[in-house]
Amino acid sequence: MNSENTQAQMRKGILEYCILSMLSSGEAYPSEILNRLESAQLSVVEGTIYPLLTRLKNMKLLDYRWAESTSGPPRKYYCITEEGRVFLSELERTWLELQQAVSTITSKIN
Amino acid sequence: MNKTVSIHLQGFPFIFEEQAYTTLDSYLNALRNVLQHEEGMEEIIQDVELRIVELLQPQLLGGKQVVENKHVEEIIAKIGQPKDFGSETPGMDEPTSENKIKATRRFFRDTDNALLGGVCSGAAAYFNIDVVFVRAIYLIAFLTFGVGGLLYFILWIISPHAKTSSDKLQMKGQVVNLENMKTELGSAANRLKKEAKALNNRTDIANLLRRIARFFSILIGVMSILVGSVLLITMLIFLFIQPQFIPAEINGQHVSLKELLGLVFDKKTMLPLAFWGIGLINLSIIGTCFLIGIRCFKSLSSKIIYIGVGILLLSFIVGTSMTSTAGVQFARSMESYGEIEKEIATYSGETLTISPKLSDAKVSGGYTIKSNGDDLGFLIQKDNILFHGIEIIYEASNDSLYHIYQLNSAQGSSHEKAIYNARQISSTSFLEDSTFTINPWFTFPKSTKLRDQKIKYRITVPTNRTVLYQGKTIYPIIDSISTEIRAHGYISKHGEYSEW
Repeated sequence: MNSENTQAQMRKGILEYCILSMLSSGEAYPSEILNRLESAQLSVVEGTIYPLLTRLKNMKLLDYRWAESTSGPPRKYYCITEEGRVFLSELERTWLELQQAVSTITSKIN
Repeated sequence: MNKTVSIHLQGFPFIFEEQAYTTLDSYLNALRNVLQHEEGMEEIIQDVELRIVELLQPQLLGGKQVVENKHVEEIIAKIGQPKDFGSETPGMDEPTSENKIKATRRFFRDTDNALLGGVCSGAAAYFNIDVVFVRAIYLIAFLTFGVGGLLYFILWIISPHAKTSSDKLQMKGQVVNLENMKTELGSAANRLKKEAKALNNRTDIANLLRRIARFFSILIGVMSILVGSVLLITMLIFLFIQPQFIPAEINGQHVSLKELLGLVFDKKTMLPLAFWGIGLINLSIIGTCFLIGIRCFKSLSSKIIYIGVGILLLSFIVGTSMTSTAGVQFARSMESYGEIEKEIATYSGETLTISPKLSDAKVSGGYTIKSNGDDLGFLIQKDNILFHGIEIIYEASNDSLYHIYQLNSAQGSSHEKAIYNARQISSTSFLEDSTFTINPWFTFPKSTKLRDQKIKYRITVPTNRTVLYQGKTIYPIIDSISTEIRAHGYISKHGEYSEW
């Protein structure tokens, strides 16, 4: 197992959390989500986003609406559901716990 | 010059170079392939297509009408390879250094898929072939050469059964790594769930019993299919090759079932009715064998079973009614009895000698033939049927003469028909001087069919006269038990005389 692989897995693990968190402050369409992830230096392959969004939608954590676009195809605007918000708050707590645990462990070793 | 294709993507028209179109098409197909187990696969594809339209927008706006292959490749590079879509953990599907480790294969008994001890299923896993083939080869070898029975038990005893997940992976020759273990554990969990559903309190003894029951069910299945196959082959031989096995002769050859039926039934229509009726009954029996056999090997849907049983039942009923129609028709043609009598000779001498007329020479090349020859029921010549056995009835004569009467009898659909059939019987017995030569064979035309034709001779004997047969007195003889005169005699086809 090489380091690239591990990095990709780490990124993918937190991707769900990032997307839910992003959508909690307002709706967005896939390209928008991708741009924002990119600008935050969280580089993911676009291909991973689509199955993830569909899965979150099927889990009823997300919902979407269609909107016409002036410059291209219609856009799918995703928004978070109430269930999604509950889920997100759980993720947030886990993330903070993890962050703390990881930094405690790694700082001790260092 | 390049060929172009006009397509619609999510309702947007595009003109693609042929190569670009091929690339995009195979990309989308690969995505479908990867996502086929994903819920909402079509939705994901739709999202991707929308994204492609979005990414192709500049190409359209920039005045370049035709989408080239390099554009498609750029887009694919941006969206990602199909493998990025499928796996939860990207990169895991890529060949890693682990897969280069040579997988070690070991022979384990596969008790999860076992019928008896799991030797065959273990061998199937070891050689990576379907267990059905292993079992079939094993069974054929066992049944035809008788080998393998002991080998099976030896392998059962000496080879370990695959207990752990890593055993099971080694049995299949797979590398023992985390990912494979996960798969194996997953299938183990599924199996356990299934088994738990099937058997709540499963103990080892219950397990063994279940396995033995399964083994016997397979055994029954094999036997059923074997019996069915033998019956099927037999029936096909009867229907199409028509073996001549019935102990009756037509021009020196044995008779087939069809030919025999032809000698029984009056109407031409009854013959195929009886013949195919018997065939249908057989077919339903054969079908039942096969259905049971197949059912023992694999579970059939209840629909197939219902249809199968329905067809079998139907063919049985149709076959039975066909044969019974023919049977009733035959019974009708045997309904009436007709008997005719005529006096064929009188004799005034002291003793009458009865002598059998035996057609075959009793001497061959200086040897007297001692054996009786064949034991055929009847003979069929070109137009005639030859039957044998003549009955003789003795009575006291009213005058001083011997009177010999010939009685012909036969069955028929009506009395007239029976009389007609009786009249068709002919015999070559004759009286010459004091000897009444009786030919034990009599004939009747083939067209009158087999209608229980018989010939009797009624001989009236004056008081104090005797009848001899090959030098012995045969009439009058007092029966030692009933103290009455024995009034019946019978001459068999070999000229043997018996009385009662």
